[in-house]
Amino acid sequence: MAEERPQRGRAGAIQIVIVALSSAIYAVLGIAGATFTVAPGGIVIFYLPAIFIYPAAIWFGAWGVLGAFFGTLLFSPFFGYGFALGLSFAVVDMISPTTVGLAQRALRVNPAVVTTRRDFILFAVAVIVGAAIEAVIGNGVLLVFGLTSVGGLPFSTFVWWTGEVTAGVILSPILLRVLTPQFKRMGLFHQSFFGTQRGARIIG
Amino acid sequence: MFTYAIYQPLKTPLHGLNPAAKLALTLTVMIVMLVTSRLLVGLGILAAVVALLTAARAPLGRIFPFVRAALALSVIFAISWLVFTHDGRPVFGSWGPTDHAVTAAAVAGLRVLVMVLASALLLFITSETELLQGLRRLRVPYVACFTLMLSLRLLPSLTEDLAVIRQAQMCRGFELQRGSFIERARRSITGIVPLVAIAFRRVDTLARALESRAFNLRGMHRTTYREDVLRVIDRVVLAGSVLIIAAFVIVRP
Repeated sequence: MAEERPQRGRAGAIQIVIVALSSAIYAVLGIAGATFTVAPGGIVIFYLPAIFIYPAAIWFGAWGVLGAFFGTLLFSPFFGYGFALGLSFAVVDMISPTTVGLAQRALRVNPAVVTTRRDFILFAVAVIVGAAIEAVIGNGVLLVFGLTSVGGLPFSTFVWWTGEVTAGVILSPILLRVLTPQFKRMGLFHQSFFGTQRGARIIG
Repeated sequence: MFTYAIYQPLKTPLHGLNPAAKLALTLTVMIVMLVTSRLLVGLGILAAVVALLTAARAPLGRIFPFVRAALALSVIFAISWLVFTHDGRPVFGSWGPTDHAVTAAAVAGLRVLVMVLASALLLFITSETELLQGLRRLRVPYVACFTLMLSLRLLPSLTEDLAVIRQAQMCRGFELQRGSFIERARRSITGIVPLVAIAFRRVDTLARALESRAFNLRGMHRTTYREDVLRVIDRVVLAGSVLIIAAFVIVRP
């Protein structure tokens, strides 16, 4: 494993690579997920990248969340958004993983969230709340850009929220369960959300 | 399989522009399209983008995946307007969508199409290295530019990994494409777990490669192999972009 730099908050090579890999995975899943049904308002019913980004926020903290920013920017032309709208959604897409990553650390939830009922419930609540905030703001962006109508907002907000929650609550725990031990061994965990301190010692 | 690498090193005036000017040009098109709400102005901007694509000698085959995505999304946005907007007069006498809804749907569709075509134009006339240069010229921090470029470089290999994983699963009789929406969604996890595991095995190698090149050390000033020179035409494009955006924001045509 490459040497970790002690500077707190300043990205070292490991953090740069984590962001790049998270972005690329997010983009690949975004493009693959574009084949899923889309609801009026341009919202995907099942948001495939959400499966990965919630665990990424738990494993890598803010460095994983940044994957949602760059990933959205990368797949935006293939999704039909273009870079200008993609930039807005890049910011919006960081809301729910940030909520989950911060909540996991604040509430000391075990990263392998399916280990106890308490951990799973706290994780699910964080996803539900984060996705709700993101859906409202994201649809606000669509409205500001004149891409959706005021009448269509409740429906598209609900579909956005559902797409995030189904992916996050049902499928993300599988990823956390399977890959948490592996990333623990590799020393890729980031102990604080915004820091660069890594190690096998994990919260929970 | 999708490809981000639609860039072709042709000798056209657009290819010859400074990367910052290319970025400014395409961003201007996107911003003015977002600012306008009139159908005729939107059609004019679309005509301008098509003219730029023609000037760049972009073949339709390379642009088609972008157009397909844009058309699909345009239809969906249009439906949103047509179904949920009740202002104005119905276009078919006493029933059907209103005239306001039809205009708004058309503008929304045009917005999506223009933004995607402008993005495709940028990718067609700008190489990855030039994109990095352009972003640097526009004062985007080097680390952010580098991360974006690194993820761009990783995209094809990860896409290939995902394709290999899916093919391997299908060889074992796993049906990924069949079944209901819920079944397909549930099965997608079987591809994501190995993809993430494989991808993050590269962390160590990539990080070591960066560190061995003294990446992101404090107090080090980065120099570049290629000299980034702004010619008169580039300055004209940059100044013109600023003026056009300012005019659209003030006048709001």
